[in-house]
Amino acid sequence: MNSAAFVVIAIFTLAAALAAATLRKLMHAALSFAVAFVGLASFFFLLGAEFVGLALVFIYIGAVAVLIVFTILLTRRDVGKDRGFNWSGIVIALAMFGALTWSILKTQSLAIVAPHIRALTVKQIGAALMTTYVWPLQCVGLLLTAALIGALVLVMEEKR
Amino acid sequence: MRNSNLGSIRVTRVGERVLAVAGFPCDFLPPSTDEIQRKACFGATPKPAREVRALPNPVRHAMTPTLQVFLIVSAALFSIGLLAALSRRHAIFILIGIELMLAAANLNFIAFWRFAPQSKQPIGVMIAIFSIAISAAEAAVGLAMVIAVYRHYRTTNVDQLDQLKG
Amino acid sequence: MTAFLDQIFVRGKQTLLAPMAHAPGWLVQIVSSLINIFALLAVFLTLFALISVLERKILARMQNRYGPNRVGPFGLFQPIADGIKMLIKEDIVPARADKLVHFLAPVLIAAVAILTLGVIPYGRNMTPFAIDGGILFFFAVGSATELAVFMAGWGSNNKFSMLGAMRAIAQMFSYELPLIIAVLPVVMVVGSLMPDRIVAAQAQYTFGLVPRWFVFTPWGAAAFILFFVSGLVESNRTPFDVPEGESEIVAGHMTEYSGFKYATFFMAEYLGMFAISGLGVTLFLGGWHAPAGALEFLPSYVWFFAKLSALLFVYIWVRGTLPRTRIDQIMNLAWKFMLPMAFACVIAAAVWHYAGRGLRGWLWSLVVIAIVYTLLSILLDTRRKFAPRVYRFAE
Repeated sequence: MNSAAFVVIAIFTLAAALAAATLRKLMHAALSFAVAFVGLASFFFLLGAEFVGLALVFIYIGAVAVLIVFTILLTRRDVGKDRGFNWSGIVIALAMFGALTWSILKTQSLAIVAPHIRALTVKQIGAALMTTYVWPLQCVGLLLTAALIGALVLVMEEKR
Repeated sequence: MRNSNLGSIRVTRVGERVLAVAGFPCDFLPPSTDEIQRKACFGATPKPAREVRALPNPVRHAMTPTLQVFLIVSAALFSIGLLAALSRRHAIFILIGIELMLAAANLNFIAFWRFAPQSKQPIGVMIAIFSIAISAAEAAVGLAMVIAVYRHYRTTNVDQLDQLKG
Repeated sequence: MTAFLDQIFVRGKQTLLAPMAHAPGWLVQIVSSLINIFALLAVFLTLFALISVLERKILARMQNRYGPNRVGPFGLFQPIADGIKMLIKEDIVPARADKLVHFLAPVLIAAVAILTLGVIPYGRNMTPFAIDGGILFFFAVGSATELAVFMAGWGSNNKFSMLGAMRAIAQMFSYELPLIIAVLPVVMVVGSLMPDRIVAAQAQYTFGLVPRWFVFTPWGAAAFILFFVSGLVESNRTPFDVPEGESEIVAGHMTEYSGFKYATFFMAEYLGMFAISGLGVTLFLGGWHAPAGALEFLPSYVWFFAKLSALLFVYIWVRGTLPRTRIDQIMNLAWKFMLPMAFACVIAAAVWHYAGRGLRGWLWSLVVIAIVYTLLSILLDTRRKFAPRVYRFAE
């Protein structure tokens, strides 16, 4: 694990996330959201979880980001009216960050470097998914089907 | 070590029968495969050694990111998500904020998995995979709801959605 | 001699890296990656130039014309002339456009196309970016194309652009499912997502003659056809080029692009076509392996590019043959026919595997494919739809 790479990815991800949260134009925010997930996937690569990183890129940039931009397109008459910004949110977010950072730095057992472990292959993940985690996998499949049908029903044109 | 690595940087031990790229034996590599297949891997972008060896030298410790740093980045990501979810009025921004918070949680799972001593099952990775799947479902349903609400009220500003009767 | 020719590029790269023997590891990595990127760009941009003129020549031949024949011998320098023309054209950005998004769209689409080219094994030991989940990388990165197309449509602030982008995304999304599910049987049978392993699994020959490529099994053939058709859609090629149907919506999401940005879109489309064809060669056509054991004296990359050219020729042939389809026909084909067929391929591959991967498995998987195909054609009632046309208003 390389500290230079870490710093670059961290700045990249956090800047993109901040842009996604604060930019005025909704479309720019949605695109920064996609960029933030590229940064997050690079974090996963850095941590040796390549499969999860690729899945993250696949799902978030290929599906969720496109869904978000589509929603923006379908509700676009409302875009640009987003004047409201609740300043108390900043205070709460800063307080949250402060509290989390304080508690993380206070915990000495977290100041460890990564141990030497064998690389995780896609094959191992597949074997685990198909043996130990087969029931959660089925449940997620069911959940996704339900979500698919639910989303379709929600956006279907109402019969008059 | 470095000399033998030049063209085949990703192969840790030259002459080993296993492609070092994946680190597990391949059932399908036929015996007729050329010797070079195992020795060199042209073009393969050399991968940095994934593991950071815990050297006793404290200076070395300061150079490599510890678990704490990852957790702080994750906390920052979570706070940004919270900021988006709390301060913005637009429903899509709130969804973006929630997705960012979930992503921060995923980063935590992966970081804890990576820094913990190796276990038989990659539990942290599994939880991250399932959580990604579930957050995708959540995003789909959430955005469908945004569209449905927009059809009714012609707005996506959550402050104006204050009627219980549609 | 054969081995030397086969590995000549590998040796070349090692020679280039040799002076860096004492440099730090990260520097060697960066230089090694840069060499790969440079080689990839050089090869595929040359191929792009070549294919763009060959396509026009072949199409002209099919339509009984001459095609480009003014610049250089046989019109071969046409791409240079085209490139200079594109470079010196005025770059127009619409006044009401979202300038940043408008600018970033062609950049992103070209970057994605080049990245997807990186995971394909071009020859023995010649994979520029060999990772464990190479196939997943291909699709994960490739899925950003949709976002780029949307950016182009939105950023232009033009109704033709937006309509074109919507059409493009709708059909790309619909065909990504059959595309990925058609890849699944290969991944299942090989047991790996790594392109190098998939190529290695197709290395041997039955009786020393018939190569064990997956396209020669019933499920592989069916999956390859599905893959090819989905590939046509993903690269916006002719029977499925509704997103840029010039008779309806000027040029789809590229309407507001001019000069070099338009050329970038054009290039990205071709690079995407190379990438999807290269993946098809890797998955179904045995990658860089020779079609017969006796022909292995030719270097591996020669075979890869021969197969790639053959596939590209079919792409051009299809473009010269078929008319443009309607968008509802495209959608019906994807959801009602191709998706169930892709699932049938997965089942047939499982049957093939459990029946022993021999002749018995071959026949059983053929039975599965045939049953599903017949059932689908009865259910979708294709026979009635393709009845002889009756002319109501003209005789």
